[in-house]
Parts: sequence; C-alpha cells; structure tokens
Amino acid sequence: MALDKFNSPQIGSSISAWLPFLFYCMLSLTLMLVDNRFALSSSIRSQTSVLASPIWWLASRPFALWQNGASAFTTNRQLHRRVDELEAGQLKSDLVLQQMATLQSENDALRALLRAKQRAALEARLVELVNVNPDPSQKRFVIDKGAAQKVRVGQVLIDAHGLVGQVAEVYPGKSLVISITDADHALPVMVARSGFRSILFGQGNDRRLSLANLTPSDDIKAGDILLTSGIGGRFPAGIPVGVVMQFKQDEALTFLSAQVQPFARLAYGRQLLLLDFVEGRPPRPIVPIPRETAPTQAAPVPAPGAVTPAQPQAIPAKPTVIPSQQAAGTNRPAQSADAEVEPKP
Amino acid sequence: MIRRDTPGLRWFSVALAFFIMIIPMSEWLAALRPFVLALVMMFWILETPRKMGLGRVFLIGLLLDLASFAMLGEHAFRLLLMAGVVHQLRNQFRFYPIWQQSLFVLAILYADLVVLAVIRLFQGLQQQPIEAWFAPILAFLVWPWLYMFLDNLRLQSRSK
Repeated sequence: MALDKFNSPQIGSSISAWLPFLFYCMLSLTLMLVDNRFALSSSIRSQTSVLASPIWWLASRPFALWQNGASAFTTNRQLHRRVDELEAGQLKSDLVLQQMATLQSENDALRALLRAKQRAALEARLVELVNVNPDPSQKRFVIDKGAAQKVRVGQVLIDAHGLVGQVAEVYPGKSLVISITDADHALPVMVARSGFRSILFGQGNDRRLSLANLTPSDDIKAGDILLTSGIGGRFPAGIPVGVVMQFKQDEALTFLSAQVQPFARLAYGRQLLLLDFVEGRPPRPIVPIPRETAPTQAAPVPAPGAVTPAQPQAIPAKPTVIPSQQAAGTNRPAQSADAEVEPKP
Repeated sequence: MIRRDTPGLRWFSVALAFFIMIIPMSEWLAALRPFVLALVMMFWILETPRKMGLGRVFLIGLLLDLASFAMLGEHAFRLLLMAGVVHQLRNQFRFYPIWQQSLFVLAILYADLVVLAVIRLFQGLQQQPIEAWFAPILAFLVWPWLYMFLDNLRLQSRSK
C-alpha cells in the first residue's frame, strides 16, 4: 500500500508523514456523515450480506452452543415435567380458542351490520435469530429470512408474550430487525382498559420502555396493559406490548412519564414469529369503544418541543373508525408521522 | 536474529479478535466487552508496523462497522486514531515495562471512549451505557497477558 509510509521514526520529521493519516481520517469522517444522512451502510450491508452471513453465523455459534448446551443437560424428569406443563397449557389455550371462534363469528356478524370492513387476516411464520447487534446501546438483530422469503421492511415480529419489533432492513437471505426497546424506536400504543392513546419510546434497555408527556388527567395507571393501537398502519392493532409499572415526574414538573415493562422476553430465546398481512388487505386501525369516563377527558396541552406534537391524545366521544388506508406503507395519517421509525444503524 | 514475518498468526489473531467483537452477549456483558481488536491491532503495530499500516487498519475498521451494524466509518475512525498514536509513539512504547504499556493502553482506550462519545453526540446517536466506561479497565488487565501470549507464539513460530 502506497499510503502506508506513516511509521517514520521522527515525529515531526515532515508533514508528509501525516498526510496518509489525515487522508484516512477524513475518509472515515466523511463516511460517517454520509452514512448518517443517507443511510449508506444499509444499502452496502444489503449488497454484502452474502459475504457477511457466514461471519454472522460463526459469531453466533458460542451463543447457540450455550443454549444447546443448556438443553443437553436437562434430565428426563425435567423433560416430563415440561411436557406436562405444555399439555396443560395447550388445554387452556384450546378452551380460549373455542371461545374465540364464537366471538369471531359474532364479531364478523356485527361488523357486517355496521358495514365496517373485516380486519385483515394475519399469518405468522417462524423465524430464527441469527445474530444480535453487539453494540449495547442498540437493540437490533438479524433474522434468517430475507428478500428471498418475501420479507418486507415494516413487517412485525412477536414472540409468545408480546410485540418484539419490526423489520428495518431486508437483505437477500436475512433481515435486520429493530426491537421496540431500541432508543430510535417509537410505537403507537393504547391502554387496553381506557383506550387512551400515546407513543411508546424505546430506551436502549431490554426491560424498560417509556411513555413520555403524560398529564395527570390522562386515563392511565400502574398495572395498565398497553396494546398496539394500529395507528400509522405499520403495526396491526391489538398486539400486547407491555404493562405500565410506575410514573415519574419530568424535570419541568409539568408532565409525567411512565415506565413500561415489555411483555416480550427480548433477551431470551432464538425463535420469533414474523407476521404477514394477507396481500391486498392492509390492517385496519380501529379505535376501541371508550368507557364512560372518556368524554370528560381533557386534551393535554402539548409540551413545547414535545416529540409527538401532532398526536391527538383525547379520546373521541363516540366510537370512531379511522378511514381505511390505501396500503400499510403509504398514505399514513398525519398524526403517525412521528411514530414511524427511522432505521439509523 | 532473523526477522521472519508471521502473517498467519497476525491475521488469525486479528480475525479472532474481530469475532470476539461481534459475538452476541447479554446486555451488561456486551457493554463490558473490551475493545480486543484494538489491543491486537496495537500489538501488531508494535511488532510489525509495516504490515499493519493505516490502510489495513481502515479496512479492518470498515469491516467491523459492516459486521456490527455500526455507523459506517465509526470503528474505522476510532481504530485509525489509536493506530496513529501507537505508530508515532512506537519506539518509546516498545521499551516500556509491560505494566507501563498497560497504563498507556488504558489511557488510549479512555481517549477512544471520549472520541466515541463526541462522535455520537454530533451524530445525534444514543450514547453508550455507563458500564462501557469500565471496559478499558478489563482491557488494561488483559493487555499484559495478550502481549506475552502473542509474543511467545510469534517467537515460537518464527524460530521454526
């Protein structure tokens, strides 16, 4: 390499000794700026992911060995107990499913009466974690399905307990998933009990999410369960997200923020479910029928410089159906503009 | 003494350190992960400076950026700065006693963390968790062993 004549013994010998150093520094700084502005690295990664795949695979081996090793040392009795547990759980789920079937047919009939469109059917497929972003401040990981398996940006991942995240970048045989706990992630949610809507932010921590800019009059309390609200059309409505743990005053003592614990076990397990919308039928965001307390709720004053200024937080007095969107990825309602994620790897 | 180069050992150790940088770990372990690749890079700059020039350091950094989903150029820039310092101070560095070398490595890694914090500040990215500031101490403890281990391997493979 012609530019590697840097290691001259005298420090101040000549300015030309510093030129290659300056050249490479400027190059990397420029790369950083360009990448931050134009997300250059995601396109380069998608081009080179064929090369990177074996590297990711190799790097994930210790992790996989650890997990396989743990399963190799389970005893017969533990396995029997596990099977018993699972069978009992299956029985319970079967019961719930039976009830769901009747509810579903009732719901379909009611929707037909109201001339509301049927909700899009969801299908799920099993995906496996390939690698996790090693940077502890980012919550992103790679799954083993990509463009070849018709994965699209924005598809939603769940585990057995709740929402996990969404697809941020698609490579030929792999995809990058951004978790709801990533600090760059915002998620439109609603309180299951009252229908109160807000935006849930990741904090770069697997056990903590945050609801910002709440006022004391908002109908939300500790122990409330948060579901996806479906606003924005990216996440289907009604997926369990987490439970509200505690409230905290912000520095200006004007707003409250709530700590939310996610349901999904984000730091564990290697298998997730990728949700597919059935083609041509985008998910329809539905605002639930509010309880009797809803009409008295005052709209909170938006905080100056709040992150979600356009988010209407008051609950409509009567059940409202937001007009159907053209497609999940386009023509989103204005209030969700802030809820979208900008994948910035 | 015949100065025979050991490219096999060099690239194997760099590759191994590279993998250590991207192995998935639990949250707090990942934050404490020392910058092993920087340590290995520093070792090879001390031993064979002509074979670990800035161009190669830059390429290794870019590869790490791509494999670890970092911003393109972030690791490259950090490694370059460290490589620049070690290249310039190589002659003094090599004759320090090993504990003094470790202290020097500690200082370089803390400077690197400050650089990283400034980069992230300017680019508006999430800062490292607080545990990451303990990682250089681990590196400080690792350096003497790494240095002696690699040096031994190098001498052995060279004498063959």
